[in-house]
Amino acid sequence: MVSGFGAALVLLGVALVLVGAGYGVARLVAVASPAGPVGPFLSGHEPAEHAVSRFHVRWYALTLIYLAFEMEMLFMYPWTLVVSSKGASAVIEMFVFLAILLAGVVYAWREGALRWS
Amino acid sequence: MTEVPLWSLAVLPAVLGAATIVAIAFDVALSARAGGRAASLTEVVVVPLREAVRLLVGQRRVTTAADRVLWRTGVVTVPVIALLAALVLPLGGVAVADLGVGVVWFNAMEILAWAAVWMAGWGPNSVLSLVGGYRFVAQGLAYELPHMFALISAATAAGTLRVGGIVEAQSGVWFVVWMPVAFVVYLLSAVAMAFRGPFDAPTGRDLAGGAVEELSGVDRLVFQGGRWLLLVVAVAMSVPLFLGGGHGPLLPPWLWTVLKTAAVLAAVLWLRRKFPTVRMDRFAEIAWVVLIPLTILQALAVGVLVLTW
Amino acid sequence: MELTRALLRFAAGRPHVLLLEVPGGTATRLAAEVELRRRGWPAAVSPAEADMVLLAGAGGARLTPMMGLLWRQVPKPRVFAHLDDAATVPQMFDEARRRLATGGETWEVFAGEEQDGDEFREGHHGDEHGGDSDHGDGDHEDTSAGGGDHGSGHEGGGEQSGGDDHGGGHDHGGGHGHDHGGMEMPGGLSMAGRGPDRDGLQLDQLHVPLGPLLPDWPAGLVVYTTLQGDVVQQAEVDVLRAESVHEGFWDEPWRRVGSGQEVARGEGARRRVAGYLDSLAGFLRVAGWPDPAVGAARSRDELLAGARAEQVTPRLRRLVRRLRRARTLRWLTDGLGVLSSARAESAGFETVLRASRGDGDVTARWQTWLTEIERILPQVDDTTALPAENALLRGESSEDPRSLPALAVLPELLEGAELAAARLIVASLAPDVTALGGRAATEVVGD
Repeated sequence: MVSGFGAALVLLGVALVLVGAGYGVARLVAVASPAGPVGPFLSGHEPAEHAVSRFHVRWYALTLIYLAFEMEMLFMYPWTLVVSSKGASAVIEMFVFLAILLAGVVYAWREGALRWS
Repeated sequence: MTEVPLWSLAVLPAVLGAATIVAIAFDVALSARAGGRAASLTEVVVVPLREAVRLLVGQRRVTTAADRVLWRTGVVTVPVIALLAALVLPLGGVAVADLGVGVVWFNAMEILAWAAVWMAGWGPNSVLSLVGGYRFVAQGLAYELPHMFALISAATAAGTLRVGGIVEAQSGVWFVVWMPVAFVVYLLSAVAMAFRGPFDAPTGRDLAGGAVEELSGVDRLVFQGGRWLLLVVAVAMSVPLFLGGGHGPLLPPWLWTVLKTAAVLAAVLWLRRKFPTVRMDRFAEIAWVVLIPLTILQALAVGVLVLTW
Repeated sequence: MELTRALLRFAAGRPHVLLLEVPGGTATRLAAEVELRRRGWPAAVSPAEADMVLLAGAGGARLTPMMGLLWRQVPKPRVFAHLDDAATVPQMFDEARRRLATGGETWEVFAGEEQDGDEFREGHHGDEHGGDSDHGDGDHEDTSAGGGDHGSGHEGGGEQSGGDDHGGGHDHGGGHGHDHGGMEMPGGLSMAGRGPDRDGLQLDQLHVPLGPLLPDWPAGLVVYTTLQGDVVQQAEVDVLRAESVHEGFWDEPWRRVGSGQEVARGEGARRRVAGYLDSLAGFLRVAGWPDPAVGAARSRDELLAGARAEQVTPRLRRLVRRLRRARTLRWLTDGLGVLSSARAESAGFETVLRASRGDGDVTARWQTWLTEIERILPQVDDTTALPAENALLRGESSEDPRSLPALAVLPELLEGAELAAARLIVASLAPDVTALGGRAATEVVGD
């Protein structure tokens, strides 16, 4: 018998064993050992440079608003447990806070941060 | 907290594996129908098996100057987190572990998909793959918050983060009845999380497969299989969260769970075919300006209802 | 191993086929698509996914090293076939399946000119390594760390695009990076350089060619893009021409009239509707909407196989109605690749021009296809002869019609577009490079 996070740990083990078994079987039955290194697929062309690079992340602004909300989420999970005991004040405080964050979203939207093409 | 025997840890992957095969077979049947070909039952059921065998005997490959550690880690992470997320998924009344923070656990596991897909995209040092990986991060920014508000709506209504508790709270009225918005948004984001169509831009045809572009052999099997598994688990979770879990007349709870899951999964796979691939440069705006406010209002409505009841 | 052999036989029941079209290969590609659909075999999108690579169309000195490079990226078990003749497609698929079932690696020309195969082999010997890698048995592993030096192969290809500074200019990418400096870099490649973006920021740039060996991409088209993130900063268009003169597939009836044969009006209409449906199917695949794409392809193939109008019309009307009501698709393609009517006029191409009344975007262009399909469809069974003046009009189309302008406007439409949008823009213009005939690529690109 296991319970709680112990089960999670065992399940992680099971998952890794299963994936490992897949790799093991593949090693046994695959027609050839891994190929390569082969070039990346570029419609039949050679790569001109390494693909890994500083990627132009045009939704950069979005990540920042996202982060603000994500922090708020940390509070919202425990909040769900106390709503009924704390009563109306809990609901009011949480949604006033969310409304403030939403005001930020509206601002970002008007600034065009949600469109990037 | 109910305790379950150790053998359930072996049953869970088997049940999910079978469900995944059925889901793929159903999708193949839909494809065949669209192509004007009547496919027999054996034919469609054989496809996922054939595909698995094809990839098992297939050769693996490494690309020039690939970041192998990141790449393989990303690939393996997808099925592993799908299975771990299923830890709290109840079949009938029984989950492998009904954690007190079940909803948070589920959310934490599925969000690891961001890292997994990005790593799988970055790893092979290939442009199209890299773009695919980044597309998924942008997709995450759009779907994740509505998804979390949907989860929180269900948790607030039940007053617990335990999935079993959420099911118990639905012995009367299913949550889908008074939080339809949260239900629809949940399914939308479940599909986006498993980056299946119409949210399959990270692995889109226009990128020659995007994040899976350079994967072959067992690597591809693990990644693609994991992706299907993730879809099955995420969609199956909508049953305990919104559709009353095992509650239902006459039939035993486990059968109700199976029937409801099958119905939702079939609906999701069928609806997918009604839409082209949705790009995040268009969808992000909708997600933030429409879906987030809607789900917040939904959560507010639920909060008020909880207080007045 | 016995087990592996049994598994191979089982797996060969549903191979993934990478279908690549180059100029002159339209008929073969269409035949292959019919066959894939009939067998329920999936179309692969990248070499890593494929079990079988099918090159439809004529080879050439410039294509040879490219094909060799791509072939090396295909994992085993694998089969390659170069087809020039649509009639042999079904038997070739059977043969390929048989070979896959035995795990055989095949690099073979199943039909068409034998010398093409020799060219491919020469291309391989030109490489510093892996010269024998694709002939099946023996040491096939590409053991050299720099999977990337095929300079000689490239130069061999360079002479084919002679006088065309675009092709030459781009070879600097792979080959030179390896030769001069950068030896200490992994894989013999340099890191991305930087350049200003549209806002003047200094950002990493990647040089990414799109085509010719790309599925769901116009045959023979090559677009050299400079990417920052996934945004196209700069695009140059080039064309891969067949060595022998290849006649376009879509204007064949008019060419026959031009050469004095009697051709029914309906045959021309049939070909045109099928052409629009083919463009539509390709566009929908790129847009990630497989079901209507398959629907369009089915109707196209039935029309080309000679189905009567009343057999095709109901399903085609349903498809057109479905697409007209497709609000999601419209929302996704609105505002992409806007071509002003003035620019369309100076470029001068008919279908796109019609779409460009009031500044046509990608949406306007695919909707114009729908209109054209509905307009021409009733004429499919017309048995009166195509008049000769039509032949003249379309006759010069082997030199020109809409494809040249489409290529001329591509760079300006692609610049600033995201990669996904760029693919949609190209698909919405659907340039038929085959119709170029003997024209030099540089003339086309010339602004």
